[in-house]
Amino acid sequence: MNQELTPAAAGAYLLLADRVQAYLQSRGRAGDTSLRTETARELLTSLEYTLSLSPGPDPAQSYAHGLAILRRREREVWDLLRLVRATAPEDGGLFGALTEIEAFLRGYEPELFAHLRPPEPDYAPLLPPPGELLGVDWVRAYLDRLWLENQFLAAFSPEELAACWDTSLGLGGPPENLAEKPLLHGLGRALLSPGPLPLAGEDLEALATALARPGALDRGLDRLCRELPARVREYLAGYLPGLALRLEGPMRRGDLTPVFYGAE
Amino acid sequence: MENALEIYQEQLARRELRSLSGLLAGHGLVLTEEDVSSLLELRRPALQNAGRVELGGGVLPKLARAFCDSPYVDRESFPTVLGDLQDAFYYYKTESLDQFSDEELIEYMVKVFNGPAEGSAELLCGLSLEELCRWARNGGAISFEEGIY
Repeated sequence: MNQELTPAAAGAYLLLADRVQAYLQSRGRAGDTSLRTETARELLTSLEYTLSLSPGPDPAQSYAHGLAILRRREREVWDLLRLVRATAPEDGGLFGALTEIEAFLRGYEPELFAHLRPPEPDYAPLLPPPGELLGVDWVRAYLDRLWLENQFLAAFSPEELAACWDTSLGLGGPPENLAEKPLLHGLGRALLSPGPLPLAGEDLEALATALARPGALDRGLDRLCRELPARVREYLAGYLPGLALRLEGPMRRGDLTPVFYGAE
Repeated sequence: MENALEIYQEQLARRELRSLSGLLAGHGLVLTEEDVSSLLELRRPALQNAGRVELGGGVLPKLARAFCDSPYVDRESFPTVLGDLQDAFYYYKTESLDQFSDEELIEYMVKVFNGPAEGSAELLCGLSLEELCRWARNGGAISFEEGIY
């Protein structure tokens, strides 16, 4: 080995060379001597990501540990996918997104392209997964959000949910996210007198008064999530700052209809 | 760091090319250290132009092995021909979207070089991938107008 190459650099180089060989072999090109620059770059990014999961002085050992972590996470993500699918409300958009995730997981190659994420699914959770997450970590965050939303939705009857979703139909289709309207109307109901969802148009005036009190949204969420796991409340709390901003204008104008009935 | 890696890779290539000296000598050919240095210097821009990366000794030893028994190369022309072929190889490899293995591509290049191109690396290198495949399969004679210049 060249004297100018430090042992750590040599170790990293050998790891990359090994990944390149593994890639070429997996594509039926075991004897090839070169590959496209962009492919090499992806292999390198994958390697760096895997190494970052278990940093240490020995690159080979770090890589082996990192890969073991990824494989474990991949198994967990499969379990989570099954759970989300089993608990999801019947909805074409959501099931389509879960099918896309499944297709991605079936083709996932942690030993070559650990960092790759699936194409942006058509169904977005209330809160997007952090953009810096890669590979199965991103998928896990995406599915975990759906799992939390499913637990929230399970607190309502199918009739109530369907009636909440109907409030979006004026926009020309089903809601982009199934939890959003039940959450909005659920928060409103929690601040007003008990009753079924969704809120009626005449409830909105009283709701505007209730929302004007400090800490109203947090209080409403506390009441709404009383029977739900703490993680669900914690997750939904992340939605409140954005909602508070969206409510500002309609509150000033004294008309909450755009937010609750979808004509924003 | 990058320099160190490049030096290391060059060493691998040198080692592989040196190991061919017996085979080359059997065909009356020689690659001097100077020839090898020139070829390795040509490798970097050739790879860059084709958008490719090599780890290890690279394709030069394979090309040297495949073309050393060509009736159209001699001691004098061999290093230059190898340089041209290296350039063409990377170009074809990328053009083919890596659908050809190194061996398949080299086999086609040998067929055309020893056949219709009659030992003209310039002619061979001027062919598009499609033309290379066609001439490798069908043989015949190529005129300079066939290539892309």
